[in-house]
Amino acid sequence: MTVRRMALGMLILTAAAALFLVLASHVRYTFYMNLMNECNTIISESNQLVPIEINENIVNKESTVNSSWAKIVVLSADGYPKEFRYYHDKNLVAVDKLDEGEKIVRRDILDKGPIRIQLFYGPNGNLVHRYFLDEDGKIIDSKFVPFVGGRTGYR
Amino acid sequence: MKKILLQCGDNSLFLIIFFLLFIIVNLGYYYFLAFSFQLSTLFYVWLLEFAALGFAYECTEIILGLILRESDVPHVNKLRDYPPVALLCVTCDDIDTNILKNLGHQTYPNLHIFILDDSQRKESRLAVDSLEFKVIRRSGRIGYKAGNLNHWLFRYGSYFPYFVVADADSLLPDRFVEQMVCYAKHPDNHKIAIFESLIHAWNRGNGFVRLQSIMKPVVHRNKLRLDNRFESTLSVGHNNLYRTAIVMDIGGFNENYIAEDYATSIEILRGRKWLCRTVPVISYERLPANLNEFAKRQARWAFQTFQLLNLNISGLPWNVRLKILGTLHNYLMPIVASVGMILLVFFNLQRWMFSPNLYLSQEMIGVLIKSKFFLFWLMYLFLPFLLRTILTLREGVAIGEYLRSILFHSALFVATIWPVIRRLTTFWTGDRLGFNATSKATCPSLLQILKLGGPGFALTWIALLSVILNPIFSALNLIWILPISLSPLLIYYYQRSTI
Repeated sequence: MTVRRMALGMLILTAAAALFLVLASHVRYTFYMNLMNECNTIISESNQLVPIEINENIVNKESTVNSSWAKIVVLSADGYPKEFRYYHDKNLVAVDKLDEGEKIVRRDILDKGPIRIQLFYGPNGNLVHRYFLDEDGKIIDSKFVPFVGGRTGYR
Repeated sequence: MKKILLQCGDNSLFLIIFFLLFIIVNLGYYYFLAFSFQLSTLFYVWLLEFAALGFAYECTEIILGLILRESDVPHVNKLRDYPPVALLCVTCDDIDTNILKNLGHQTYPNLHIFILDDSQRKESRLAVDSLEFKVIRRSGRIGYKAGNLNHWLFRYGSYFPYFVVADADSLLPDRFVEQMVCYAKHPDNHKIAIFESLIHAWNRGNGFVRLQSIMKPVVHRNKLRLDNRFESTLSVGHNNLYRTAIVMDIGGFNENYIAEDYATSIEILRGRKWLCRTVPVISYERLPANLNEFAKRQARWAFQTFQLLNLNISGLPWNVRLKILGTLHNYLMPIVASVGMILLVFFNLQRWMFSPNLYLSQEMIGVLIKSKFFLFWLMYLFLPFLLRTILTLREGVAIGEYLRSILFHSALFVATIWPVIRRLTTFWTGDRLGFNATSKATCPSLLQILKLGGPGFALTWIALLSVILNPIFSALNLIWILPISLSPLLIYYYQRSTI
């Protein structure tokens, strides 16, 4: 065996380890990317709906969710927007919790158990960064990919 | 834990810890990072794997250096007889008569000094002739230093059971030969073919040299505790003592490689019949006094290490193989670092062009600092540093000195990226045996420093700029890129300072 052969072995070992890492984590990467795409769909489709004011104190047909996609703005006691709730076929699929005015700081995706997505926006309103968190609020992954759907907001 | 580690076979201990650390780092990569299946990502992860190898090797060395005791090589206290010993000083147009004269001060009574002079210049030859030592010359320079030594070995070697090799810049304490023979004469050491000494710099008055020497105590500690124990000591080719019969038995010094020291000691260690050990005897050499000299030496060492690629390593202990691999990895780092910085620049530019209005919010910083992801990278970057700090403090090096040494060596690394890559390019293009002895050079000005390491410096500045444009994505990189971007100024400052 020559030094060259051993060095080649080292190159192959590191390349194999790299390939294994990429292949092993690719599943996770794809999962998060799909989740983000679903999230984008929810936001963009629910934004198409005409807003209807629902008062929880009045019981009528407009106090329930009827359409395929619905977005409900929940106000706080002092009248400020507190969170958005997204419904699909009457099922709650996502919650956007609001903080500091209109900035969304957390989204709960109910996909095989709750996964939280923390979103951060730049000064021009474009999404710049997001964290994926588990139920305890610990970061399990982060993504910097530019966001497709644009910003959601209170309407 | 310490007990378990010590109970493992000596030779396998290093390998076990090395692979364990390599696997742990990979688990960290897997747990904290997610990668898309793209060619560019694959290439990036490959670089991460190179970094993991370096991390595992360095941490293994430090951990074992911390827990293992010195591996003592026995010696006789007093010599009863004085076998004839030859002191060979190998020169090639690099003579310093003041240094060479010191060879005559040795206390060993049965010492025969030979100057093996390969000098081509007339003035160098005249200077050698002016000394009162026996001078041996040959007609050409075939085999360079190895050829020069073999020329003597097969003419006079049989008269001397031991010989000491010194370079033109070697400074040996008066009792050096006597002390080395005390080790060679001990009956338990009959299998040791080469006795290496602990080499210090004699030109420490120069600030540039002093900074290179700060970590010497740690290097020496590793030689005595790790290399001796794991049988991974390789000869450095000078300031050492050889058993003549063994060197002759393997056919003399290996002339096929410029790094005749490594090639010859590998030949000796093959089959585990003979050993090479470092003994606690002090000797001195001259270290590069400025960037010009350092860059030349570094480029030559990189070149001659890669030249060893053709060397047969069958029959060698795995620790020696790993050490050779570590050396190769070390000299490959300028290329890996350059590619890494180019990838970083492309990554940042891509992000910058697609998302120009980014800002680092307080929330993001808060979440980032609290996350395990951040902790992992911090550990990855600082664990070797922390461990080495403990080791360094144990050896009595002041923390301030240590930090200065890190800064200085980082600057030297950046400054020599280009000279090393350029020299390695000549290796790949076919110039396999080009060799010049490292000569003294003038201290370069700031402009000359910039010219010498130009592309390396430029790359760090471009990488820094790309990080500044994109702090949100690569702010962590500032930890290493900010200090190394000041490399030319640091080197200029340090090589001017004298102690």
